[in-house]
Amino acid sequence: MTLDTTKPFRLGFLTHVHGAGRAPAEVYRDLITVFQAAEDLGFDGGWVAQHHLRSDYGRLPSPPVLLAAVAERTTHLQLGTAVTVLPLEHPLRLAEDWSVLEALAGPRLQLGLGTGGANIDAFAAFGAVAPADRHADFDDRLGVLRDALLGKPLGASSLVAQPAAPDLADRLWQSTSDPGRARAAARAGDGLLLGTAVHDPLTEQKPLADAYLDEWSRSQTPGSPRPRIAITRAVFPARNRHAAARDLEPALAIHRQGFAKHGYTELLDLSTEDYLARINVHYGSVDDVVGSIQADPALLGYADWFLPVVQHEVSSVAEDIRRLEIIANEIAPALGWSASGGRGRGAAA
Amino acid sequence: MTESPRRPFTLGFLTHVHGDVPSPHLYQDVVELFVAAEELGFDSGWVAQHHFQPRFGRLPSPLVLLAAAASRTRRIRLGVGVVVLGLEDPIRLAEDAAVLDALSGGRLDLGVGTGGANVSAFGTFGRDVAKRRELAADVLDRLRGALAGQPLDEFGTTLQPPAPTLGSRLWDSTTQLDGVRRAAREGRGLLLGVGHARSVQLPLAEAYLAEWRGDPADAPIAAVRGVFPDRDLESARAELASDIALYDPLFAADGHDPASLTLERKLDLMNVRHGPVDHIVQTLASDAVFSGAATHLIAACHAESSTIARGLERLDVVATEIAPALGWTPAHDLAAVS
Repeated sequence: MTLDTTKPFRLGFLTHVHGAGRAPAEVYRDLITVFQAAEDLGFDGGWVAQHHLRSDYGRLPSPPVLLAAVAERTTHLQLGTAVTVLPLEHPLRLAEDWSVLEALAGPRLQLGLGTGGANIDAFAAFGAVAPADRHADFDDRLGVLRDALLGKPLGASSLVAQPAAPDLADRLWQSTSDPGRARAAARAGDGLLLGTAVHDPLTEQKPLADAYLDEWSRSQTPGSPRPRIAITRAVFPARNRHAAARDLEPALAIHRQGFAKHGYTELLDLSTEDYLARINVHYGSVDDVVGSIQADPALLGYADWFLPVVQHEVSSVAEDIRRLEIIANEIAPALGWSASGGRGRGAAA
Repeated sequence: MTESPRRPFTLGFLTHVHGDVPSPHLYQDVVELFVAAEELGFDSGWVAQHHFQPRFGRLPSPLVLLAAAASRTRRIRLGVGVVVLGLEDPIRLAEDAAVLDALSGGRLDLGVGTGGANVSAFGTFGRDVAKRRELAADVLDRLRGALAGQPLDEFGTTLQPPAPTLGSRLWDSTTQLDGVRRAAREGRGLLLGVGHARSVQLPLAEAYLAEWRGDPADAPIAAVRGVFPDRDLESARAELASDIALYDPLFAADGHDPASLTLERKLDLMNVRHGPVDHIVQTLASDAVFSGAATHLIAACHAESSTIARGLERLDVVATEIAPALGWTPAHDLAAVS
């Protein structure tokens, strides 16, 4: 398959909502500020990750509640999740929450769904399925969610979910590390979310994208919606690579411990530079970042959405917004992106 | 109780989110209703949760809508009256409530109920409607535990974000004597909307107060009342007649013969205060619950056929004429005054 690396992409950002030791009210207020700044900078979308029962990193368990507040403060920024942990949601309640949000925000939602690999620790508290069964469980719940959004009769009853949000069913996304499941997402007409930090772009992410696109071309008829791939990467612009690496070291120490807890103990012994490479971070001067992104084997040409992560474990909201500015004003334009609207001033102005 | 001026009370409004307009329009109107009510000085606004209802009761996700309202207001308290416990996961509910409470600066009041108005939804959720009281009790226990910061699993995991004060801002809506006693023992407020004020709600309020630990003057009791001001009784009743007719099955279920009940009698059984302002003031002043134990008056000004705008006209009369005549003074947002 030939890849057209000049394919246009939409620019979003993804945040995991960190803020250890800070009051939740402050963390959420800052998060709303970041969304507003991103809209002012011309970003196409802002995406949040859902995490449960975390007190330090990953502090947002309720994306639709937060995004409803964001929706009132923005007008056209797309609002998404990457991801919502589907096995810990009742699919009908999830459909209701997102349908109400869609009615409030307008048709600008992107609902990314995952099986909960990063939230396995929370399954016991929720009385959820055994983690090993979560893929089958995910498929069951996704079926109910899709029917509810489409306004189909629910179960044996004649009831349908209210309000209906049939268009939102065309803006579902799945995150997976299994090529077979990437193919299933294509057959369902869903988007594919890629970019889990420990997945190697060449040997893991690229095969997932290729499987998804191959299956889409086999199973979807001409005239149906186009395949959608959203790709996440940490992006940390700084004066140069050395300065960026030094800035990131305190956050990386925390980050490594988090992965080590999930079994990736080999990460503990890597040098800073090797670790940054291992988790696919693009960092350094604008030219460094642009070059590094262009060399990424599973990014340009695949991405319909490029979702940089600019927040690290100990960064401030001002630093996060500064990085978004550099991405919107310098890095993304060098990659062929142009702002769709609302651009023309710095968020800090 | 005599005609002496009653003690201060808190004024709220409640809407069940009725209407025939498309949902984007309806929900945005409800958000604007909170903005307008805050400007009128209302202390709180409450929305009800209903599932799978295409016309009456169109809001299945009150916490999502209240997050939008929180974003547009600064002072007014944000109430759910009520969430159907048996159809919620207690931890997800606690998470959503805690995030909204943090977003809104601690303005959430969370009413809970067993879902009497939502019995048709249980089967679709895979829940046994016959067990809805047991289900609700179980979800409530686990919700309270989560809010109190109790461990949620064997590893000692606790709710995030923490919401340690939200447990004291839960409200029960129940017509069961053991239910109101439990609410009092556990420190929850009491929402009294269903059932005739004197014959049903007064005994519930008395049972609640008898069990309340602490100063009875602090026991939070909200009288939820239909309030429909109009130039005269006849006009008010004419406008309400078709909406009240929708309740005939409920009257029948309650042992009445709807055909033998006059509209006036039905309105009284439903505690709908209506007509000229003076008349409404007088009927509220003699309301068995509002005139006595209630600390809160929650005005429901939206009937099934009311537009949000029509209900807002009524809320304006409540805030500017009716409530002041009963001793209420509007709250003001200091920042807005300056």
